[in-house]
Amino acid sequence: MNAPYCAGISGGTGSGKTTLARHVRDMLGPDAVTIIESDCYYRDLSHIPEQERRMVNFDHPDALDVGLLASHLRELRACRPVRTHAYDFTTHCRTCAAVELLPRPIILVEGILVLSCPEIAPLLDLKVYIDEQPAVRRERRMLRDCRERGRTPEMSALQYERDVLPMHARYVEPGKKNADIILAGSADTDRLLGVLRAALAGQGSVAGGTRSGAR
Amino acid sequence: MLREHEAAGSNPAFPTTYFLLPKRSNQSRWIMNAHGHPHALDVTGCAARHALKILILLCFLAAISTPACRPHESRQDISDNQTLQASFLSLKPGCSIAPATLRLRTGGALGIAIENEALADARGTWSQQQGRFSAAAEFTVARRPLFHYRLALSGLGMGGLYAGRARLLEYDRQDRLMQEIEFLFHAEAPGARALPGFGKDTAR
Repeated sequence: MNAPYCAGISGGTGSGKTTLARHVRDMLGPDAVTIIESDCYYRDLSHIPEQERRMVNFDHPDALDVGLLASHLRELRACRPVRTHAYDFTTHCRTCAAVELLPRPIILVEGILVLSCPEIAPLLDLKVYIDEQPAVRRERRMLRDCRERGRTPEMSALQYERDVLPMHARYVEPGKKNADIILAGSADTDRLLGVLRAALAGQGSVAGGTRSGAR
Repeated sequence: MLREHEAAGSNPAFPTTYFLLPKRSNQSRWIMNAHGHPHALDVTGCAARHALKILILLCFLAAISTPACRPHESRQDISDNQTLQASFLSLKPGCSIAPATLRLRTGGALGIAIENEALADARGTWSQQQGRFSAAAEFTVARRPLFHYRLALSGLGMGGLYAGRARLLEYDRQDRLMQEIEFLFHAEAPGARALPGFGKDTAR
């Protein structure tokens, strides 16, 4: 297999990064795309008292184990599989369940900081930024916090004002200037799919006929 | 703890390094030291000679931990209730950890003491299997209660000599931020066989 084509998808919280990455995988086929969610690389906080964990500023780059993410991306670029761990957002700890990431022709790395991070950005062949409306992002974020991450609306709102907004301005938004493609929202996928299909075509055939899903 | 970009005050993008700790002379002392910062701890710096020592020790341990050389060991046996003197070499300029005493207790509990520091709520675990040594300790430094630390060691150990990688994770309760710094470490038990040229006199 040729070296995978690595694309980074960034944007503020709730901009639709995960949705876009999964849509791309659906369109190009599961055997053509591996998705790395940078949210799985939050540091394990099991050593911090439980009541303090929710106080951590998760929107600051230091909350992520960027070194581990970069090393996994390098391994995948070298066509070697990696084992990582899922992250439990209710306990803020890595789970015991190992997750294997396989090298595939397209590697999508999605996360708020992937275009801003000096360890990650140079490893990306394509940089995509989703520029979604702030009000839309906020609403999505609060819904997700309450439905999936065990937060109350009050906790989510506090975290948004206290951490998300200032860190977005400081670390996430500046990544936009590094983007090759800026999308108006996660539904704005045509250009991205065009580039990825071209990259896929340039890599030769994909095992299992998985490109049949591409249109 | 100040961070590089915050100290610089104007860099809107990522800092080249997240750990802002300025470079210090190799005479300074202690843990995550931000030189001149009111919260800074000062520790004995690791001189360059430690780097060479640790690298040689690692090579030595790697060589003697080959299956042919490795003695039969139970799951966790050879070092119970052993006391080790450990020193650390930062892989990030400007950071250091003072020499520490590690107590490997029966049952896998780890005790830790750091030179000239009182630790609160210190607890940890250790294990050794097939020559591979790992340990982790969590603690708060009494005079820096706003910071919580986790020190994780992984490497090789044999015959009372240990060396490998250490990762210190610092959580700043005030700023609600974390930072991690990598070190090399070496540790030895009293009476451990000394490497040629690395007797007790050269250890510190």
